[in-house]
Formats: sequence, C-alpha cells, structure tokens
Amino acid sequence: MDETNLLMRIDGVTTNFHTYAGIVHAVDDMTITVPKDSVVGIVGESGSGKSVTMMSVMRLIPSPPGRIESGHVWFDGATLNMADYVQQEGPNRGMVDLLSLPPEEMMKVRGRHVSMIFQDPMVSLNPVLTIGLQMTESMVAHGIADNEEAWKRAIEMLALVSIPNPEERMRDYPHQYSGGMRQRVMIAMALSCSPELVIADEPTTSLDVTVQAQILELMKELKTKLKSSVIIISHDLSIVAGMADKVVVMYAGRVLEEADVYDLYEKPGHPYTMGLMKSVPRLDADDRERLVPIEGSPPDLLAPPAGCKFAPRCQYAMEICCKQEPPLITIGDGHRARCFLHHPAAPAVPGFVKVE
Amino acid sequence: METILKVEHLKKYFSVNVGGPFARHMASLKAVDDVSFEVGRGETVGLVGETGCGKTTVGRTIVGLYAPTAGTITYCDENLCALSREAMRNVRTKLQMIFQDPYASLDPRETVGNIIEEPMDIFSIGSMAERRERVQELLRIVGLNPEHANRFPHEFSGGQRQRIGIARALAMNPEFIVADEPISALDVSIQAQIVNMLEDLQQRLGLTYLFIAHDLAMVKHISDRVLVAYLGKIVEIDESRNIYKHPLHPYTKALLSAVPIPDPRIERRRQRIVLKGDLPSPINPPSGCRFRTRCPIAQPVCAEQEPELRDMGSGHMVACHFAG
Repeated sequence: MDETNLLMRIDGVTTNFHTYAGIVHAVDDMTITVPKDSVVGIVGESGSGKSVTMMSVMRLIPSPPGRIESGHVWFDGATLNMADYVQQEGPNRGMVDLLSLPPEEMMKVRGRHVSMIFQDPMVSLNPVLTIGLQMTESMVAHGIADNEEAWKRAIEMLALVSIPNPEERMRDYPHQYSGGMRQRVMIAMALSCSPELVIADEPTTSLDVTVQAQILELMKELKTKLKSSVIIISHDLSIVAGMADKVVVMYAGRVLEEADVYDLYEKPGHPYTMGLMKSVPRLDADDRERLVPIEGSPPDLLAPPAGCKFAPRCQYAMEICCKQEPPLITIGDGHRARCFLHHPAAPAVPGFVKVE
Repeated sequence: METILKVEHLKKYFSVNVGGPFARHMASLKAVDDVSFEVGRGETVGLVGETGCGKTTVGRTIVGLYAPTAGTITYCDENLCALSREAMRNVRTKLQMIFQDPYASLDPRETVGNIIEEPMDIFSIGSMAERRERVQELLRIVGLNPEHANRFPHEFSGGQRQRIGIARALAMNPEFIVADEPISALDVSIQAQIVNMLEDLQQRLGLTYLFIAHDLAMVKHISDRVLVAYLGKIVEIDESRNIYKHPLHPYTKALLSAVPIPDPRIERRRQRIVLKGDLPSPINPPSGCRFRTRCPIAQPVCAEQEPELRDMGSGHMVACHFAG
C-alpha cells in the first residue's frame, strides 16, 4: 500500500465525554491513515468509538459533554485551497490540520471536501423540506453552483443513484420515499459537491439485505466513477470484506488491528479479530458447526480495564495483558496489531500468525 | 416426526386508513395472506424475509397476540382459533415468545426477579418460596448470576437483557417458542452467545423453535428447515442444508446472493442478483405472483395466475411457475 500518497492522516486523536458519572474515554490515541483513491473499512461493535472518531474528524462532537482532547487530523492541503493553514515543513508538509482550523474555515471543508452518509436515512433527512431543497443546499452554500444550476445537478445526481423520475421526485418530501431510496438520496447528497473523502457511517444497517446489496453495489460503482476516497464504518465484517482495500478493527476506543483486507481475513493478528470471524455463521459453510462466541461483554468506558482492553474477554490473555497495554506494533507490510502474543517470549496460539 | 404445530391457510388482515389525515377511507393491509406450514416436535424452523413480509405477524398470530382473519392454527391436535378464552389461556403456557428488542420488552420498573416470576404468579404456580427458587434456577439456566434477581433491567447490557427475556419465556416450561429476531438488536460478538444458548436449551428441554429473522446466514445455521416469505406469502420451503445449494425460487436466489460473505476473495468474485426497486405495498399487492414486479424471469403468465406451492420432491416446496 502506498503510504506516501496520503489523503488524510488521523494522528493521535483522543476524544472524551465529560459526564456526571465521570469521563468516558470514547476514543483514545487514534491513528489511521487514508491513502488517496482507496476504501478504508472501520469495524467494531457498538461503543468501540468508530462513529466518535469520524465525528471528531468532522468536528461534529457535541461539546459539552464531548471534547477532542488532543491529536491532529492531517488532510491533503493541495485540494483544500487554504494556503494560510498548510504546514510548510516537517513530516506533515503540505497538509492542513482540520482540528486547528477556525470554525468558519471548517465549514468550507464539511460537505465540500469531506462529506458524510449517516446511518439512519429515516432521521437524517429534514422531514419538512423537499428533497430538492436539501439536495441543492450544500452546492449553493459552497458557491459551486447557483440555484438553477444546482437544481439541474441535483436531478443528475438523483438519476445517477437510480431514482426513477428524478425531475418530479425533487419536489417530494422525505416521507414519500422508501428507506432504500432515502439512503440513495443521502448518497447523492454526500457526493453532490464531489468531495475528496466520503465517510459512510453504517450506511446499510437499517436496511433489508436485498436493499443493502443495492446500496453497496451503488457505492462501489460511484466510487470508481467519482474517484472519491471512502471510509466505510460497519459492525459487519462481511460488508467490509467486499468493499474495503484496508481494514481497521476497533475495540473500546482503540485500534486493535489494521491491515490490508486480504491479510486481515487470511492471517488475523489479534485474538479479537479471530474471535469476530469465528462468531458469525457463514452462508457458504457446509455443516452446522457450533459458533465460537467471544465470552463476556465490551468494557465500560467510564472505567476501562488497566492493560489490554480486550484482556478480560481474551482466551489467550497472559499475566502482562492485564497490567500493561500492548503497543500497536508493525507485524507485516501495512499490518499493525496491538497484542502481546506477537512478543517472541509469548506462547504459540493455534491459527495465530506470529510476527518473525 | 410428530407434528406439533400446523398452520393452514392463515390470513391476517389489518384495517388501515388510506384516506389521509382528514379523510376516512379504510383498506385492508394483507400482512399474512394464505400461509400454510407444519412444524415437527423438537425441530427448529426458520422464517425469513424482508421487512413487511409478514414474518412477525405469523409469529404473533401463533402465540395468540393477534386473532387471525381466517385459517386455522392447530397445536397438538387442538384448534387454537376455536378455543374459549379460558382454554386458550392454558394452552398459551406451552407457547411462548422471545421478543426482538430486549430494551423495549422488559418493564423498566420491575425487578428482574418479578419479571421472570410474573407468568408463574398469573397461573398461581407453587408457593412464593418455590417461585423464588424457580427464578434463581431460571437465571442460572440462562447464564446469569441468581443474585441479580433484585436488579432492574437498566443495569444489564443488551445481551444480558435478552437472556432475561429468554428466562421469562422458559418460566412456564413451554414446548414451543416463537423467537422473533432474538439477536438482531445485539452486537456481533454477543449474537453467537445467545444462539449457542438457544441451541443448548433446545437439547436440554426438548424445545421446538420458530426462529424468525432476516439474517439468512444465522437462520441457515440454527434451523433444520427454512420458510421463505415474501409479501404475506410463503414462496419456498426446504431443508436449510439444501436451500443454500439449490434454491428454486428467484426470490430465494436473490436473497441468498445479497448476503455478504466474510471473505474478501469470495466476496469480490461473486455475481450478485440485485433486485430492482422496493417491496410493493401489501395494501394493494400485485396481481398473480406477488414477486413478479421485481422478478428477473417474470413472464405474462405471472401477472395472470398466482403460482401454488408445489412439492418438488422430499419436502422441497416452491411457489413459482418456472421453478425446477
């Protein structure tokens, strides 16, 4: 994977929520790189911090109670047209830190350069505005088209996501669309300003399988057509398998593993990734094998365990795992994992490929 | 195998207002329209389909939460639709349900102990001490700490709440359990825990399941036989082992091809049958075959004639003019 041709680097982002019960460590020292023209999948269960990470990138964390405590989100400056904020030297030369932009500059980034497809199309469209008005809003706000032109482009976008009779449907309200069609509108809206990066937060979770297949095929098709990079967030390893070039596995606000999609599925480097794969039944399995669940439940982020966050549920946990948090180490080309089992002194575990 | 439940020509129509907020014009929504199937004792039958195919309505009608519009439900040689209220009350102890949403199906103001004890209370089973004893036992069976009987539902995670829901369903020693999407609200790593537990309970207590879900891979895993429903009709019935390899109905084929497989090499090679459009309205379903509006192989005959469920050999039933 070409790590030099970067579109975005999330660098050590930590986001906490300050609640009455205490500080919730939602995302801790998050580092992810997004190469240009690629699809990055982020997999994790609810509460693993995958949505909070992306909301931090977009600076949409409600504050209070949320606060981005530290870190940078480096975004390719060549596309942003913000000469004043581009780093002139150092390792991040030519990049712009989205987290230190003034709010009015950040507004120029949202929707124009980085856009988001939200999880629930039922609640993320405004019920009292027509689809046409919502479609044209961002194009007009970013000044890339006047009203008339934006209307025309919006019709083209609706046709692109295969909404029948787009001219007439522009004047309809969201409740006149079905769930799958609303999600298509969300996708059309996210792509309307041709952003460099599209963040899709569980884009198919509330949809039926057949509609999910439609939406995923559409996203793949548009990805090649419009040349945007995509970050797809999902709790489902199988959705990511078909789309992503690179996958990041998150748990309790941390990256546990990051790898090329083939490496991740063929030689997972973390017991959690292995566990996730064994706990879902496969449609192409021949016999009814018993599932292997991951026992226990995810930790409470108000009081996360000391040491490795997965240790209390890990069947291979060693003494050190409960005391010290393992670092994210490189175990192959673009393959990183946060596990002590890769240490030379650790015992061998069946099915686990240890770094040499 | 002894037949425990027999559903014949079951129909359930709901009356809905289609006239808008200020006009009254009632129409019938055909949620379940002429569905027949059998379930053998000790078997797990999966019922799959998209939202709006009537799968939940079938489950709820069987346990008596809805009164059927037409048709019969025979449970152990008794026609449930013809029973008196009192007789139905007693039969219902044998038919229990596990609900989809563990956050909505437990009363937030009752302790877990009271929630599980309530069915026994209603039927005045045993003394108070015996009931308490049974609650402890049930909590142990579903893998929870018996000391948690005094806690409230909000103190538990989603997976634990679903275990409480299962303990409540087991309180009356049922024979038949309708599990309505019992795992779809849970996290991936928790789903396997609950499914394994349901399988263990079946072995131990000799339960029969009707497992309703939209996750085909999970249904294939847990079921002996699978019923595929589309817009209030059953379009295909077969053994779960066979249905993945040899689906006959074009809808089943499309449904199976839509399920992603967690393997990037297989997933990128697969040819998908992507269905066009959305589910038609069950208020005004298409004439003839209901699937014809989205079917890739539809012919003029499909609009005129409704296909019957036909036996294609060894219990493999399919409702399509062009199957086989």
